[in-house]
Amino acid sequence: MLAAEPIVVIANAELDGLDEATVPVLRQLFLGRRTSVEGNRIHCFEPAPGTPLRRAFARIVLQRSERDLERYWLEQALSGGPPPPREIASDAELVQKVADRRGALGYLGWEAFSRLRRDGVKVIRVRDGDRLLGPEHPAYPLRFAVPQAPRPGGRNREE
Amino acid sequence: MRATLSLLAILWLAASPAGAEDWRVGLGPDVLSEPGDGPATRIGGWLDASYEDSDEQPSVGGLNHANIFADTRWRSFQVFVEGEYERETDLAGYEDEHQVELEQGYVRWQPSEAFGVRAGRFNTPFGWWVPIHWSILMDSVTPPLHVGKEVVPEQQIGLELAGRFFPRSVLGLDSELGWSLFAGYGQEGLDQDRTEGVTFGGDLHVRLAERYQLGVSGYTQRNRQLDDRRERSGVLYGEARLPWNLTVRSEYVVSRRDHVYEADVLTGLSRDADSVYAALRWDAHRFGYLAYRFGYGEDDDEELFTTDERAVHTFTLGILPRPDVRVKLEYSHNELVDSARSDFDHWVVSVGYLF
Repeated sequence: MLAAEPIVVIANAELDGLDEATVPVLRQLFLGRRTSVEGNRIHCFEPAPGTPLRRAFARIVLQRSERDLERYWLEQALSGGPPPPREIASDAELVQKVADRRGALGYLGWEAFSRLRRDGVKVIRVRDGDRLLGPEHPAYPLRFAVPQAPRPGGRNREE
Repeated sequence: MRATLSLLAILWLAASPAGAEDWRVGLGPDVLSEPGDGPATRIGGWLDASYEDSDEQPSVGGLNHANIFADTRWRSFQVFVEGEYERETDLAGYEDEHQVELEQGYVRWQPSEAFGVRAGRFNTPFGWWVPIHWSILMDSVTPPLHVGKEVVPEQQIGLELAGRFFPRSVLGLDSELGWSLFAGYGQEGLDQDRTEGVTFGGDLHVRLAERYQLGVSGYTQRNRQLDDRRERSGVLYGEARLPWNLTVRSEYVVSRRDHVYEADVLTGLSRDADSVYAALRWDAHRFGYLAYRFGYGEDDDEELFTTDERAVHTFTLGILPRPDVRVKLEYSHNELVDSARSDFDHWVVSVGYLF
């Protein structure tokens, strides 16, 4: 059984002008096309490749497969374009990086964020038309599939 | 060659402020991705080799390109230097090239997305294929007609102003608007073939919803090498990323040349040089793709001083066993229209490696 866990976008708490963002703005930032918001330089961090979280973010936000992204970043590198986001091996290190670096932006799963939540980091809500959605909202658009542990004694039921 | 290496060294050293303690140098993108206080330099490059055969010429194989670049970033500044060894014995009917050269060398100041300045030698911002330029990144081995015949120079030596904007929406889709204006100077002594004097150009393109791109570029120069004629070129280009892993791309090039007369006779190469191609790529598998390109246009033979029309059908199988390895198997059928030359087929196998 797979469950859909929210992808939480986090930013350094001192970053002004970025408390909410649309999916296109997140795409522009994580593809390096936009490097600042409200005059503040943005530095993006992301999880290591090959994980369901990273694949889902690439598909939903960046509208590319991981293989397409590899091609995109190679084109950028050989044409003097922007560098890719810094890959961080662990959720704990990613949260630490975002907390320590002014202008930092990253993302991780809801479960990991709940466990590693700390001062110095704020959650970026996603604007979808007139609605401002946080990760707890049922209509929050950024989600990835995680295996659900089987319950003892019977089949899983959706709540 | 000596001047090339000297310029390369000067540009790269210019990126190193005296006494910088925090200068990081590395091979991978991480060295530029991790923001720091000091400058960071990424060293990279690529090389490719091929074996090709055609109906017109004997087969040939070997190393085609060995390319190395250094990309240094510090705050809003960038220094990019690229040197290349190139050995292209082109059986597809384009010009042979055997040389070592400074491919690009420029300094860029980009204080914001909306505005930046670049000065030096850089790929001509004309259309889609010419600015990207590196064969290893392309879907096919052989370039389209207007690139193979160098309708516009591959590089400019000059100054470029460029930037991008993010309008709220265009046609209800999120959008990005990019622009570029450039001016340059070229002559044979600066390794700028086919150019004499001042050049001008510009580009405007819009990207919609990360799936569609449409752009237009213009360029003018004086070509001293052939007829001392003025050339004005424009291109309308577009790309669409469609469902089922399909990508469509096209460029329509128009090139107008001043008529040049010798003894009151219009010279053969004064005809205008228009060309068009449309390409379709299917990413059939994460490790490979199939691509087809149809091209049609003017085909100047500068040695024979004739101009024909050529239609080209190019089929490419791309295999990407790893992100840094590219294998391409390609077949193209060339139809010469109203020409004394016969139609011919061209085969090529190419292997490339990026680092």
